[in-house]
Amino acid sequence: MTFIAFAIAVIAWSLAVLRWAISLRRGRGRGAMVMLSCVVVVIAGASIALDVHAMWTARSAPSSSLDIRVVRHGDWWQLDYARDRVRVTTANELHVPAGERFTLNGRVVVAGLLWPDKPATPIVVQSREEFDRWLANEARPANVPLAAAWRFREDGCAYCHVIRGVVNETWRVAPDLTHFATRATIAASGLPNRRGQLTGWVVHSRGVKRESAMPDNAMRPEELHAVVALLESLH
Amino acid sequence: MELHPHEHVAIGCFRGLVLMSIGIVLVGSAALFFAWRYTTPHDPLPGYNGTPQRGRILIARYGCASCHLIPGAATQGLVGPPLSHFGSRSYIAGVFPNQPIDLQQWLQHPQSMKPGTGMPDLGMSDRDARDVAAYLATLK
Repeated sequence: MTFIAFAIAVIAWSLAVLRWAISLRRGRGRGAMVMLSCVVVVIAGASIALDVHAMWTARSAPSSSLDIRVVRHGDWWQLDYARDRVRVTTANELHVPAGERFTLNGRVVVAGLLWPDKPATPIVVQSREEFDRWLANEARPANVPLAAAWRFREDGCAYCHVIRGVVNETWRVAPDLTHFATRATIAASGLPNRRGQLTGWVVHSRGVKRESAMPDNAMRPEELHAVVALLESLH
Repeated sequence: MELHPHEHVAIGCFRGLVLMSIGIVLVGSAALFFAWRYTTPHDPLPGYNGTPQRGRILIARYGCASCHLIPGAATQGLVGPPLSHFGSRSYIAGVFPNQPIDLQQWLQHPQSMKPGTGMPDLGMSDRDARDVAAYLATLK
């Protein structure tokens, strides 16, 4: 209601300015005034039309039973997804379906239109099909060879990190790594998920991100490369 | 063609705006170009046939600074040796002479050149290795 009243007021005001500009005496400045007020009318009209379109899209968006909870843990984000019977916990990269109503931390939102309290984590808006595929993959446990799983535990990663299918604990001390390789970024920081960045991060995370809570892991180089290979295999 | 006086004004006003925008764009581009030209090394050193500027960008893309301290990089890793003054150093990894071919080889295949090293193979292409080597050599 407030929006409609405001929109009408803006349009009325810009039209009034335009009318005033046209009524000016012919002479220096009139053309510029007319042109300027035309520009104002066009900009106001376009932005109002976009807003109306966005509101319409939001209103007509189909609702889903998807419920996402974003929990902040110091320097990383825990992301809990619930839809129908599926319960998935991931971290640091918020995937949302486009053009669909869902709840985010208890508030109803439509992706890209209304963010109540925008989490400062990378957001991936996907089409409904892409999102469904992504969620189905996330729900699967990781497929890790036994030796690599042993290595992950032996190097102490499993004291904090969970990989469903390898480390089936429920703790939330550090980001869940079950499908780590599908994430485009690491460290909840926008740093690309590539081997160079990842290797340095695993050994000495504070060299990459000062406030990181992950301790240094000065493991033997061949163990380091094995751990990085394991992380790269978590699709 | 006959024009009304106010049309002259309108066209004149518009022309001023366009000229001003062009001016701002030109001056801005010139400033950016000179900042780029004189704050980053431009010509490769003798023996290096890569492009230093591109190497500098690639260093950010490959994440070298996650492990190495590199002047001008966003992150400052302490995992591997610092690469400050790399162009003045005698050896690569304490084993190979710091020469163009050795450096390019090292950047591409550290694991086969020195098995057991902490530096991972990053799948660097020939061209990328030439450019990164050309940049590192300028760090005198």
